[in-house]
Amino acid sequence: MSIDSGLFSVAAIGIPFVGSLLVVLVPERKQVASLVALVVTALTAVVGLLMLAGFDRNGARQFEVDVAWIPTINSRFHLFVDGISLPLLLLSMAMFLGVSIYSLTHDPQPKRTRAFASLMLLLQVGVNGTFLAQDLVLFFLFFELVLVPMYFLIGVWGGSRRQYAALKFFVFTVLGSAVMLVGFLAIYFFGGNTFSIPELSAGGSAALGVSTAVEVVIFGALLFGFAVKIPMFPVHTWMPDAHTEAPTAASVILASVMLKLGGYGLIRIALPILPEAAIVYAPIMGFLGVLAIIYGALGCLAQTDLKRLIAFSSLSHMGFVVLGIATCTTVGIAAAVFAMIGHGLITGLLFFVCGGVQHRLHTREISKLGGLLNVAPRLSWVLGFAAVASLGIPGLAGFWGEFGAILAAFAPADGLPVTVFRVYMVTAAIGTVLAAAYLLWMFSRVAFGKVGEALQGVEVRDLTKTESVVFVPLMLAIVVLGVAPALILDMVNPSVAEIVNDTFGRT
Amino acid sequence: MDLAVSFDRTLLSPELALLATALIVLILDLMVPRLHLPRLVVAVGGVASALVLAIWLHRGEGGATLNDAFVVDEFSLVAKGILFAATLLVLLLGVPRFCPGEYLVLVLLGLFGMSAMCSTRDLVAFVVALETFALCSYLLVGWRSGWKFRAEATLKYFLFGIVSTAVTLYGASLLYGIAGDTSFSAVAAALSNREVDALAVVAVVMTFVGVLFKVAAVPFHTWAPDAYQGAPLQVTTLLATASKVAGFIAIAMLCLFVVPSAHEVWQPLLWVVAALSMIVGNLVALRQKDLVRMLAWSSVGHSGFMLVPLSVGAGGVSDVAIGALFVYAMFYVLGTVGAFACLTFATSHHEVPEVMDSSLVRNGVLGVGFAIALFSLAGLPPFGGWFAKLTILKIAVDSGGVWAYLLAAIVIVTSAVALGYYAIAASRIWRSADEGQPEMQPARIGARAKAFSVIMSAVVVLSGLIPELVTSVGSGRFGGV
Repeated sequence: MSIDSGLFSVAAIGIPFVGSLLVVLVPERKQVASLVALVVTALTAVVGLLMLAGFDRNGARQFEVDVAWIPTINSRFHLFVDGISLPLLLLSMAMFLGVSIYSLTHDPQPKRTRAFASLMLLLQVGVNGTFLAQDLVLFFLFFELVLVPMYFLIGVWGGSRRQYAALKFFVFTVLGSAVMLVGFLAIYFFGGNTFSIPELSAGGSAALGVSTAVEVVIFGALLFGFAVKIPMFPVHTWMPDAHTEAPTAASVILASVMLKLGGYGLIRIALPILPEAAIVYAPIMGFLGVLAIIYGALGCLAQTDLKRLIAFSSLSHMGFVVLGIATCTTVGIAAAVFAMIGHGLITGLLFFVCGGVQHRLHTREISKLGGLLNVAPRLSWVLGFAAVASLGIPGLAGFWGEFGAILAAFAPADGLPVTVFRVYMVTAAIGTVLAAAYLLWMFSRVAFGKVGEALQGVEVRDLTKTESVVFVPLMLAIVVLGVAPALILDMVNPSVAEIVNDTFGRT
Repeated sequence: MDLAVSFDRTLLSPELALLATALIVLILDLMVPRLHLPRLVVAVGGVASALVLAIWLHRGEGGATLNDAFVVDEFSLVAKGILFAATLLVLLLGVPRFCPGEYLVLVLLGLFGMSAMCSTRDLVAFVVALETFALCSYLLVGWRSGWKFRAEATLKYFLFGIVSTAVTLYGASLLYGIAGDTSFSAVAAALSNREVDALAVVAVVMTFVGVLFKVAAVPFHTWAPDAYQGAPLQVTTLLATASKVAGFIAIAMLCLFVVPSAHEVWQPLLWVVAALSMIVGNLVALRQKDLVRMLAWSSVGHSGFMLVPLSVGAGGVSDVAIGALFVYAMFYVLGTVGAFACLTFATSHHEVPEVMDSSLVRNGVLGVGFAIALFSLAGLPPFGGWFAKLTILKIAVDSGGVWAYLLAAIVIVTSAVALGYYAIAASRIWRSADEGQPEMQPARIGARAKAFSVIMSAVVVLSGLIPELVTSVGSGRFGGV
């Protein structure tokens, strides 16, 4: 690259940041703010595509920026992408672009489009920054940066219980992040006064030079912080409320992008820096993952609200991610990354459709919806497609994440109890059956059968143009990734293998 | 016997500037009482020039004057800088018409007292300087009365204040008894040569008690909510920023200069006070309906946070701990001034309601500024306060030991609690009115208010993104965090 490639990383953060400031200054006329947001997210997506084009699959860190930032605590402004962060970064850019297209015709209520767009763009800064950051303090800055915009997005533009949901989300996540920060400070203190993630990962347990017991405590602190974000059982309770009460655009971003921050943090920070503790925690993480799979699935079966059902399905899917990471193998972690991307696309689509249903019919009660196929066939088939993708059918993106996690659980890393993980494997497989149950049951109740009371006497529009523009690429991506997972896995595998061999190969 | 006292005009220049300004403002008020703007401009100019002089002195060598009772060194200059900057910001909030001569003179003389206190290295001078700004602040709280609650608040503050000064004075006299001389170095030397016995314990604890009152730390905090609520908003801002920071500087001086060897006595004391302040301050703030009262209780919580660097650390207070205290103080001042500024502007042309609520700052620019200030105080990125919280946590983790970790845990939990009420307050700014209540009209504000709000918000956000902008001020001896 002739121009300094680090500029791409800076642009991925800088363009949304400048955009979020600019959009406040435009006149509050109907479309102006949304158009500006669209342009900004499109530009960011272009940056992402250029990064993809210039990405060397066998190279390690690319598009690197490393300048001094806070010399007093030896924290640097250090960004780069590798095979794990690039797909997630692209997912984020794609989903934000989709949301800004969607927002062109779906105004948030109450109509304060400028503030809404500004907060969305600020959210993108935080998300992109988290995937790019390679310094613990910088990571913490971006990790927390997403909280304030999301708090207002839920609290001002959300549903009937938005205040409660927003506050719960906020306080829970901040508590988790604060505990995580103490973990980071402990790592700094023991690890030779550096916050640099590559340096700390390269050194691993030996560099920290602490007993396994201390490592376990520090890992616990990090795990708590990431567990709240993923979310893992039992600190997941903020999620159903936050997802349900958030406006559609915010729900999509929350589910498809923000839930990935925790899993990414585990892979990028917790596992490489504290591998011995990771081995100790792995069975517990596996258990919690499997628990989330089953609990989420059972929770879905009990739901009467469509959006809440999809929220619980997110909990279940993130359980697969956690299980994959818990196996501490290349297959498992790569499957976890793939699962994150697949889940991002699929659940994003599900929340979009749910938003469409709510917008048209003013209800999310499954009992009141029914026979949607009769009045809005295209919308219903998109819902069907998304439901089928979500349950992990082979041929669509959802399969590889689940399959990979289950496969990895069959042969976990050295030092992990094989029988326990095989039990997890079987339980997770049962979880996929439950997933099929709740998703197909939901779809049959919503799309087939007698026309529900919410649809009677209402003029229902089928898919609008903007919705098609957003949904079709998502569906295409889901199909493409389903039949050609190598597109992502070829990027992810080398980087994951490097991490796994470097860290667990050493211990 | 040489009675001549050395008097170095250069080293004393910031204080002399303040005194001169106070006199000029007083004369202006007597001669031309109706010219409001020049009076305020002179006052602002005076404080600004004191700040400039302090920065200029910082570049040079330090020194001692007044027979070594007045020392100008890194510590005192950074402390003075923060105090001058805080007072300058508060003065800039003033509406000229409502800043009569007495108000300005009291502020200037109070600032003089604080500034002198930073440089004293003698017990008597220390207490006199403390009292100077304490008296000014009692008068300021009760200023422009007509409201019964304000009279009650003033009286409470005053009575509490003089009792605690008496306690400090008694402790100081015991310290004099131990040392035989009132200078800090003599006291420090005497204490380090001697076993910490009952007399020393009583002396040290009593000396601290009076100063802990000044910063509204639990259990010496009960005056704070009433005083903050009862005082005029600008005075509340001064109380919450300059007065509080001055109190912390006093505590830091005690820890660093006066009784460093008795740290086994005062560190546990400060630990308990810090823990209690964080817990009580933040929990009670959750229950407050009035916004100013909530901010008062939250500032009790912040007092707890600021005491953390002083209470951990083996063997007393290190330079790094003082650096952490300064960093937190700077971000705290920025956030508090930002929050109170928005409130002041929102209420300056309206009638101030009995119970203040965040919906007062509904105006776009003010609302965003207020939210940014609140989240900075809560310690969230990207607003400056996150770096302050990080600094405090870092000191606690670096110090090691069960007590430090326990205090760090308290910091984390109470910060989360604090976020709860800050978030609720921020959300109320834009919340639609409840059923049956009239919709709050957005506050009308002038250009100056908008400019101030925008600049403060920008400073808070920039200092959050590039903390060096703020923290490099104290670099040097206290720079390494």
